[in-house]
Amino acid sequence: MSRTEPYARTIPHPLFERMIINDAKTPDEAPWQPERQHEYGYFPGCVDFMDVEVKFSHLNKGDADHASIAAAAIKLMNAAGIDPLILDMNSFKCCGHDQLWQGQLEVFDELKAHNLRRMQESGIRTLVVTCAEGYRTFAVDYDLPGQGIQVEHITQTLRGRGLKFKSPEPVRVTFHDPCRLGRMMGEYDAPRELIQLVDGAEMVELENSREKALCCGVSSMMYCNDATKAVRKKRLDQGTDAEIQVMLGGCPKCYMHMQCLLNEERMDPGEHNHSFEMLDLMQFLSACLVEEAT
Amino acid sequence: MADDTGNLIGEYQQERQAEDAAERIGRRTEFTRETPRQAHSVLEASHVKGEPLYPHELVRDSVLTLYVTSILFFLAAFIPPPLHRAADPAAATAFPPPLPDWYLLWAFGCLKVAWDIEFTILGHHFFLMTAKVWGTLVQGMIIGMVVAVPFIDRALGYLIDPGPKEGMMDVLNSGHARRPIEDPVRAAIGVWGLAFVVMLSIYSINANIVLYYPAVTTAVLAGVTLWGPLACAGLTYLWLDRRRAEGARPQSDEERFDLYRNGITSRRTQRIYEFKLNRCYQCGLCDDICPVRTNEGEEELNIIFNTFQNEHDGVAMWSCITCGMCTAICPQNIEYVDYVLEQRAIALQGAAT
Amino acid sequence: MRTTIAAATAIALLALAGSARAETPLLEEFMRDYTFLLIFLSLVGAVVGFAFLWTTGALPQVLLSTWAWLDERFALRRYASLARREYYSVVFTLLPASGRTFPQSHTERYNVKAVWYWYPFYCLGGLSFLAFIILTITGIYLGFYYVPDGDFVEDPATGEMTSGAYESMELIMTEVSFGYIMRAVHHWAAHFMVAAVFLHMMRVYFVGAYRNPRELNWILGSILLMVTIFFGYTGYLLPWDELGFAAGSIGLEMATSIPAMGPPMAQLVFGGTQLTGTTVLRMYWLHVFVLPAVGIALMVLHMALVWIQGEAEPH
Repeated sequence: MSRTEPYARTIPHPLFERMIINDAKTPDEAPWQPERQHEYGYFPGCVDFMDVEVKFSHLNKGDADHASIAAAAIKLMNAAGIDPLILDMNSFKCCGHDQLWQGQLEVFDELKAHNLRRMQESGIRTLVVTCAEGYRTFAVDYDLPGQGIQVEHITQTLRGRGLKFKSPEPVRVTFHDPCRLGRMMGEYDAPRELIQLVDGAEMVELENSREKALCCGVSSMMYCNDATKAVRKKRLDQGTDAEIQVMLGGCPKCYMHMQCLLNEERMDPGEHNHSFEMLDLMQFLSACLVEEAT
Repeated sequence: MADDTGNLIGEYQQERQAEDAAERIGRRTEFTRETPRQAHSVLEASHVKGEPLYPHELVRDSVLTLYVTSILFFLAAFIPPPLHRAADPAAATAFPPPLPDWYLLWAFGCLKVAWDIEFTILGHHFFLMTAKVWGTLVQGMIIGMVVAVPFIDRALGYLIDPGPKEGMMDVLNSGHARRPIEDPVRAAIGVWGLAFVVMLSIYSINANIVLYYPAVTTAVLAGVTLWGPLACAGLTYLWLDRRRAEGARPQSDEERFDLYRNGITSRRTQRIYEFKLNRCYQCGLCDDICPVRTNEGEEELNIIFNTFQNEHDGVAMWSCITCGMCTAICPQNIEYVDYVLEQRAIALQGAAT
Repeated sequence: MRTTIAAATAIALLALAGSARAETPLLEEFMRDYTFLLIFLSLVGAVVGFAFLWTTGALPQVLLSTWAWLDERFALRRYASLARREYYSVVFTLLPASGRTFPQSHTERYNVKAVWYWYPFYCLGGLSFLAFIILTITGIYLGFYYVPDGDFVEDPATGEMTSGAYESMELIMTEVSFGYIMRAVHHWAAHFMVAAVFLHMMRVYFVGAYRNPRELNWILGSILLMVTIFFGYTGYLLPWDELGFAAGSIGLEMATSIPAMGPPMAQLVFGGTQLTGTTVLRMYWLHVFVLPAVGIALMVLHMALVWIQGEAEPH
């Protein structure tokens, strides 16, 4: 089984990446002040913010709806009694995770400098992110806790707040641990706690879970080739083996990558053999949220 | 030249093996395969090149061999060993008594230091052990302590800090190899042991010393044997600690790591993760678990193999999905995924210049 | 070709004719006078030939022909491929692409050109092994002449007590060619080896190279230290001179005083609870067979572990 031809070397989402680099190099010195003081800040991140077509090429229509993750997160936080300051792309830039992991350190440093300045101007005390990569980047590579701003993943913020969830119909779900949330930051339990709160959702563990969880593939947006896709396919196969109906992710990148493979399969019905849905945890919880009558 | 020989012989082997295979179609023996074996690595695929120990090891070993041999001959010529008078069991023993070789003086000293353990309590006399017996047993204890050093070290490390160790794996390990300055307690204990053995050896020749220096009595020697090593250990600890506080090189891993936050572009800091790779003893667990390598079934996208030796072949290093499973499973807590980042950064800088 | 045959025939006839006339056998005389020179010249010729092959680049082909000759008769390729597969299967998912399989030192990997002043301490393991090889070679030489007979007899010439062992030592020191040199080198190499092993152990201790995963290697090393010291002790006794005898007495006392196991141990090592002729024989056997067998096996295992696990470089 020796390979005779070289691996395909596609760097995915070139337009997306170029936009971020361009944004990094464009200086934005205008001072910024939020209208009022917020204790919590919510950073939706570039993935959720930029348009779907920026991420997927013209060949792959894609129906992944990233914006709904941000909307869901805001709705859930409001239900939990949190009023976050939305740190959107008008004032902030991409956190630079991909550029850092690709080795583009100058770009990362520029993004970091800009975002740190904005963070200080925002006046928040806790930063909440829905993106696991952003979580690690802000907590470790930016070292925001060292500068007085706590960083939390949305699942950590929402747990223990007394939220109630009920699933419209009984559903069998699993949680796909993101690399950055799980192995790199050590948070495995908060998402699972939230899923346990959902009445009517049966949670199972995939064959590889927690520390051993399989990556969704292409975390740093580098080469997307057969080998990296094979990891993703294996992960989806594990989902089929566990007979789930919904796979829940904790990171929009996981969401995007699984959706990408599922979309490819849907375009070719013969290949379509993963019959479950891929959702981000926020989308699922938002759909299951039991609104308190106030 | 060694490369050429290796290549020639390698090619010859391949041809003969192909012939063998052609002869043995359908029959598998223990030693040969009927089909050419899949290349296990880039190394195999490209034929073994040359002798592994050439030239560094060969040159170094030759120089050392010649040097040491010549020193031995020099010593043999100018300080030859004497042949004493023949043994005579009936003859009176000379004074001072003859001594064993220097490396057994410590044992001799153990025997001398020992005294008969006997004491009287309330009129009852207890005689526990003769000096000879426990002097011998003490030697066994010393040897036992030496043999058990790694386990004593681990137990001490655990006593000092029983919490979970660095990284996600709870490794009950007092750490990896470190220089003495980074581990002054261990160094002090080592100095104590060394000084104690040396003092025992000196004590063993107390009879000879007293002949030349009557002031140095057995009691004086005993005192030095007991307190000297402790003093040396204490001084060692204080000195090392002082040097470390003054910021003397070398720093521990954790101190070096801080440079990472200040920018990874300086040449010194480029070696941080490569430096940490020194702990690697090639167990191969990271390679086994890398999902990119295992899931496609291909041996050539051997990410860890390729980046480890600083020889990037493009696809492998950039195909790493930085999932962190290699870091999670490494028994030495080497952050391999951070090393990949470091290598990508270096590769890009190289391309930029 | 013909001229060569003609010349050889001529010389042979001349020799024949000459020997018919002479009193002493001519050829034997010739051989006696010139043998050493011929051997020396052929050695020089071999070295020159080897150098010639090397510089002209024909050496690989010669080596290949040798290998092919052996391979046709012994199917070496089977064992080579088997060895290669075993070699790869144990460790080597991490082989360097440059073909170097021995773990790279910092010097190699980073092409360090500075002098690191602690480096000699890192060579001590290899130097111990080198000293062991020297001891083996000199020991083999001495072993041809040494007689392990420790029975005390009275020397008729001087009236002093002596023994077969002692007499053989005197022979080595005075009559045997290069005997005194071999004994001297053996003596100094022994001290050097004990010192090198001890300093090696100290170095490993102070840099903490005994830690996980190298604990087993440390235990092996401590056993080797004891083997080395025991080597020295048994060798010290062999000349059966005053010093050796005294050392033997002390050792015997220590052995017998071990509680419970004492007398059987003394019997095993010293051949009894008294120092007799059998003691020397036992020491000899230990020194020449038992300890080398055990020592070499453990040394090989020790070095194999270093090869497999690599060196712990703390810098």
